[in-house]
Amino acid sequence: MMLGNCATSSSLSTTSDEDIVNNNLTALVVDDSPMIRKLHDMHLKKFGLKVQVAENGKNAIDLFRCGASFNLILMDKEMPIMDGAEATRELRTMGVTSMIVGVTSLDSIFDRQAFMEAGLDHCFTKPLTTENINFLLQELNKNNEEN
Amino acid sequence: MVGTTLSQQLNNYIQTMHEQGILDYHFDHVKALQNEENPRFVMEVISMFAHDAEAGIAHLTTVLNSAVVDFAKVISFVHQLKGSSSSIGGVRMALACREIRHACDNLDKERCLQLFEGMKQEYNTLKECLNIIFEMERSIVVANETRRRQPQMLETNRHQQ
Repeated sequence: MMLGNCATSSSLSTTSDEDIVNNNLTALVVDDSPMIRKLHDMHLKKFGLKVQVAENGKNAIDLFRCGASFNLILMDKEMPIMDGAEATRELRTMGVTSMIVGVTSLDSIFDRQAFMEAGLDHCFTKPLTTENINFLLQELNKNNEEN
Repeated sequence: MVGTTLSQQLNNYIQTMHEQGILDYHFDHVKALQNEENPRFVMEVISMFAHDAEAGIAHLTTVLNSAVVDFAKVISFVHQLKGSSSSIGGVRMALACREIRHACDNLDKERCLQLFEGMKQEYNTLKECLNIIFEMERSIVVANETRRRQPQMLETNRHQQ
């Protein structure tokens, strides 16, 4: 399920994983679950992205404050210390223009809408699928071509 | 070859778990992430899931057995369990977690406790399934490592003769 700029099945390209070369793309996985960080890390690396991980929203913000930058941020919602919505708002206030994608188990449409309104570009239901990642990479590659 | 036979057995077992509704396609995605550079990836994920689930269930047991239940905490722990169980393909356990969340929204302690027992049963079923997969994966890793070492051993023996 996605909120935000939605891709319908008809708009999804049939490009195979191997056709999308993403060696120059970087990603940050922000999640308090070590298992989820590991899964998303491996999943994105399989697509050729360079990946870093952060345990919570505050760690993610600290990375940016230290000069790090990423094309893509996968942001969990419920995290200790600083949750995904607060971290997203803070990153946007800092002027971060990375694609920020919420990845959450939240069922409530209201909770997900509130998360989107924090500044997400897209929001997916956990766990992320290959189709979700394909869509995001197409969007990233499209943005790179436009810039 | 031993390794291939074990792989077929594993695939057959996973298919059976699909048919019984214990695992969904998300487990296949996890398995698809495993490669030669990370031959123990599935085993590591299963171990991490079990660790998270045991901790989450322990926390929930404490909170739900309190005289006054902190439903916000229950929701938080159940949310974590839902996320991790769905990520490993434990669809029935994830659904059970969602039901507990709904009971929390209604501030229904008795219903929460009932559903919690059901969720623990689903976890035990899932854990049993994942333990079998873990052991089969381990056997495959050992078989492959043994097969890789054998040509080197044969070469060493030939030089010594």
